[in-house]
Amino acid sequence: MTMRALGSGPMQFILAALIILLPLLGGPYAVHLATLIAAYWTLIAGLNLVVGFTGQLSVGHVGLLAVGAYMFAILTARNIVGPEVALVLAGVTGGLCGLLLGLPSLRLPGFYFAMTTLAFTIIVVELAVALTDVTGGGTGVMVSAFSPPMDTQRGQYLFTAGIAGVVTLMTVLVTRSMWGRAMVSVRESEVMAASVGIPGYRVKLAVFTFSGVVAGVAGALFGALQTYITPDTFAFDLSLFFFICIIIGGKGSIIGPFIGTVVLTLLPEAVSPLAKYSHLFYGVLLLAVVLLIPGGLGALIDGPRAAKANDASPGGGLESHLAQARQAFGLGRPRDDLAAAAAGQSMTQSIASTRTLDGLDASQHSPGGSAMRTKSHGSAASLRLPHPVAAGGSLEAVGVSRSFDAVKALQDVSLTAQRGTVHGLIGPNGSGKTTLLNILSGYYAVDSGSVMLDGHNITRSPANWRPRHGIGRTFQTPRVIPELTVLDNVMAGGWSEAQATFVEALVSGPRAIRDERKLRGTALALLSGLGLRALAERPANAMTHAELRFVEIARALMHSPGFILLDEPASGLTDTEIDRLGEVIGALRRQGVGVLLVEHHTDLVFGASDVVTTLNFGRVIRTGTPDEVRADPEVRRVYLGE
Amino acid sequence: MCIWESKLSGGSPLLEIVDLHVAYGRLEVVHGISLTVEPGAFTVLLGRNGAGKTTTLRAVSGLIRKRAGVVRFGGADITRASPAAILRDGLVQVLDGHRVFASLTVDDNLQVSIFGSGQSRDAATIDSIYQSFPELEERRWQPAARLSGGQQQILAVAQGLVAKPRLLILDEPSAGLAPLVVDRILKLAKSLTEQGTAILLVEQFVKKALAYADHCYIMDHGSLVGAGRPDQLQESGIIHRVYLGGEPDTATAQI
Repeated sequence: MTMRALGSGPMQFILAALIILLPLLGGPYAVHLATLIAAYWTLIAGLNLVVGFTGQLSVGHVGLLAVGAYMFAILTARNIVGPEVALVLAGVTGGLCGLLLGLPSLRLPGFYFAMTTLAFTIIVVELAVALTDVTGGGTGVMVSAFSPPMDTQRGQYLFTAGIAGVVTLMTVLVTRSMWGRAMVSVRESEVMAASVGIPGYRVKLAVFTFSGVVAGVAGALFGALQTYITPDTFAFDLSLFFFICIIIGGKGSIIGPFIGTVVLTLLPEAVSPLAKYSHLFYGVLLLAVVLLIPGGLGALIDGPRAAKANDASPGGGLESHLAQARQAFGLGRPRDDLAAAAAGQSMTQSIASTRTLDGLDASQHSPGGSAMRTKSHGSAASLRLPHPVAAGGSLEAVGVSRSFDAVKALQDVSLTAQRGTVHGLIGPNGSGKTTLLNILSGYYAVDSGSVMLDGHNITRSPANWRPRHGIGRTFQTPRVIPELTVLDNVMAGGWSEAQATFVEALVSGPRAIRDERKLRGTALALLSGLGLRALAERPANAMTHAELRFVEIARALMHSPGFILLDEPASGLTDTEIDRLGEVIGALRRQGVGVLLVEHHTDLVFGASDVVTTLNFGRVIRTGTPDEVRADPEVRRVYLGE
Repeated sequence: MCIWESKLSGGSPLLEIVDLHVAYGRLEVVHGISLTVEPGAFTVLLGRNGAGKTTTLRAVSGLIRKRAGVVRFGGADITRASPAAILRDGLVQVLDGHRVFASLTVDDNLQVSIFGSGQSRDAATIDSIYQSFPELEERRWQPAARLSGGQQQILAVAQGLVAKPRLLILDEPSAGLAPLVVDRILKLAKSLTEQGTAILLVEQFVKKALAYADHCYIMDHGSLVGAGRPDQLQESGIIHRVYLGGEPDTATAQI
């Protein structure tokens, strides 16, 4: 949704150019303010990737701004290098500081990370005071101007705005790439991100380092504009200001925080007689936005645009109906309501969606437009993995034990899942099924025992390593990125297929473009195979529970896993949908995928599985063919109760 | 004109929903549902995923706003009442998706539920719950986050039970539960009706639900498309048609 909301094409460039040129119509004061906005925005655009997209609450960017500004001032004052080279070095220093700050702190959970960035800011400012020889201490230091023609006020403005424009473009490009999807995945759930192979820490580190680079550059631009900097210039207030610009703008939006920056910079100026109340205005505005439009300014702008995009898509009545609904939601409802709205919207959606699933059932004929749309999109028989899976091989748990406090969740459990077979895993609630699945997919460590993939010991490999080596999974409660489209959610599974580096994504290099094209094609083919093609462009929060289960499966299939671990995929599905799920499992099995099926719908488990393992109190009580297990008196006693 | 009206003759219904409309923003998803639950009756609400069942239930218990319509509980109008007031009135809903207070212990989860229902603390109530669910007693002092998904679902149902409701609404209680436990919960619900508590159940295990139901409603596309005794509905074939996605035939809705 919002990822695409800025659109593309020449119109955007013309618009951007007009926005940049507009302040030149005003007097020197207008140009000064515009330069200030451009310098702030250069930093905020980078910070926005950290906060708004990756969900890491950094309040320390004023420290990075100070690093850039002092670097620039000192280098130019001593004539070590020219101002333009100093600008680049300010960016490099900012990036290095970002990297060094991020290395330890990005491993910490949210609140502690925020505190670390706060501490960094305090250290930088205190150093600026203490290192009198270099920084001029409390009295500060002069900052040189850029070389001609950037030494005039207008020249400086155009230079600053140009850099801001380039940085903005980079953030737009990166958010539309696989890296953008990875960032949002990390924000929504690191567990989910790891399940598709996204290394959360690396993504956070790349984004944070980039934000350090642009903060350093912004520091140089800001310093040059101020002409004189002291430690007081970099008060903590400024960090809060950056942060508030993003909050007001809304998460996952670029245009929103930009408008936030413009408004918050101009607001105290517009009411300059009341300048002493400027913090009061920030406060009131922040309250108003959080209470009235919790999605932020971005939701107001991006929302209707997305709705229009929906309207234009070929689909007719229902599509525009949904678009209307989206638009209505976009106008800011309390968060709970939004969530409920998402759930509720799905109610009506099912008019199309349940049929979407049914429409594929060869024996069914559903009337109505949506069925006609889906009819041509094949059935589970057309479900193809992106790449063929190597034949043979196994995923094994060998003598695995795991306790949580006093609870022995698993005791000496062994299980061997073969490629090209379906391995059912049943047992009473709390018998350790999900624990075993979490151990196989790397979320829990074992106390003893090992996990083997094709004979290699992978016990100690992290969760995000396993999808990249052919172990995919879904969750008991579907985990998706609610505000992204179904297609984007599925494409988020393609991390290990994408090749572009973060820097390539920033400049939309050839590999980044190729990645996008390939992932999109793969995702659409999978959605078609699952009968969800018609839903590709809809937001995930408008999907029914059943559809989300299939979306999760599609996402896990993006990296052609040799093994897929399904945690209660039939839970909450109707009989028709369960039949459909059975077909999908069958199609995967035929293509050589090993399926580990944790499930309580015994008809599905016994119907689809080649082998069934039964757990009770963390121990295997029976492994065998479905018939053997079904007939086992112990299994009947503790589980089936038939 | 409807067969179930014969059941009404005994007295006033416990829960009465009249022409309920629920909308999200401008999008209406429940279009004028009317249904009743008799005191002590086991009532089942069926329909495909996305038919509007959960929305209806949440509107009834005050969790989402109603666009139009009236809800009466025990004869009193609760259309505009707060969820807390409705709960204290004895209308308790177990939400779908095993929602428990993850950081509280199992025992505290039950205590909170008793507190919320406005009753005094009563050791006997909790003991009887532990008798019905020994798996919860084992985990009594552990945070609910430590329970498996299925055990959390059992705890959610138990939270509903300790509130001693006059009407217990269960939204897909079987999700994630072992077959034995599903049977246990449905039997327990049935035994509650014998003690006078009414049950309103949404369930995707259609056959199991119908086996226990006294009365059944079927929703599709946000409207009621059928109502009657389970045997009547099964004979009419409407359940089959709704779940297989055919167009609802309003003529057969009134059996």
